[in-house]
Amino acid sequence: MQAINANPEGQLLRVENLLHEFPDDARLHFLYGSTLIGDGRLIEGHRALTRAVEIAPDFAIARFQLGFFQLTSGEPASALQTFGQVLQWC
Amino acid sequence: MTQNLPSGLDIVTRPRQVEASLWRRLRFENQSGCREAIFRNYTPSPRNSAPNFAGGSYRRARRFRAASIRRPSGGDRPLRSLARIDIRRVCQAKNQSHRRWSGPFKRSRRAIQPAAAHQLERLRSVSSGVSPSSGDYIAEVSDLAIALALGLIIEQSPHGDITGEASSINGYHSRDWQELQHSVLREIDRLPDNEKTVLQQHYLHDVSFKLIADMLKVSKGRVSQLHRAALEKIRARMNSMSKLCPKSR
Repeated sequence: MQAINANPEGQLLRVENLLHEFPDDARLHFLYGSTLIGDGRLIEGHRALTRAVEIAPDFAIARFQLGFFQLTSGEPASALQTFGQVLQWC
Repeated sequence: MTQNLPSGLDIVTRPRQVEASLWRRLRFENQSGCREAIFRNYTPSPRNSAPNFAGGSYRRARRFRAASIRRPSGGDRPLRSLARIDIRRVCQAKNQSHRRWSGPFKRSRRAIQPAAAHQLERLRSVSSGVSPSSGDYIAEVSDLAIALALGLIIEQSPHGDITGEASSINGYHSRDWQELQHSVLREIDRLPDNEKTVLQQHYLHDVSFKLIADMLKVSKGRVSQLHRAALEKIRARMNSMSKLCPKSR
């Protein structure tokens, strides 16, 4: 995260390269999605977060991040569905 | 002056994210309703832009504003321009659309004539529901007049632009008039989605039936049916509130 904050574009490219190498790593998708959203690339960020949750349904923080993003995007039904799993774990 | 404070989901939503969500759901998930929501979001832009191209003249600015409401963009330009927007850069989309819409205003230096075609559409729509076999011509003409009057009430509501006619209404009538407008607008909000869309787009944004048909992916005839049905429902509800004269049949 520090590296990304210091050099966003370069490190984003590095994450993309890592994703090519490890396409099924949910943590990378979560990192990629969070960075894209922070960068204003909202549609791509949503896709990456969704992919992270698809790969690892038990990845709580990714699921929470996706649900919160859906809620603030005016998609309450989708957010409820996403949060639903998190609430079951509580 | 009271402020409209955000409530419900509006407290947490962020406009840019909502906009991106609409684009995403329209382009990749083909969700119905998104296209209309996006169009509604961008439609006010020409109205706001009009005075900037009026050369500082107040009278010209008023004509441009009225022209933008009667014919906001030159036919189906809004839908075509929306289809070309690069949604990856949706944060800049409004600026892209603004540049496309600014062209017609810059080129034109006189007010666009009222859309007689739209008025003809309305008349055909409301008259198609009248049965000529009853023989009560006074009642038939009354029904037509009331339906057209409802449309004019909607068109001149606060969401549209009052182009000077309101100034001729004196202080005693204006409050009743505004209450009537608000009642009609509230009834529109209670209509089913398609009917609500037809009335809002046609009367408040001056969109033709053909363009609404493209937006809703139905035929123009179906839009005409929805238009008539919506006006009849509003009339029936207003009758029950004793705001209008009852049907004379």
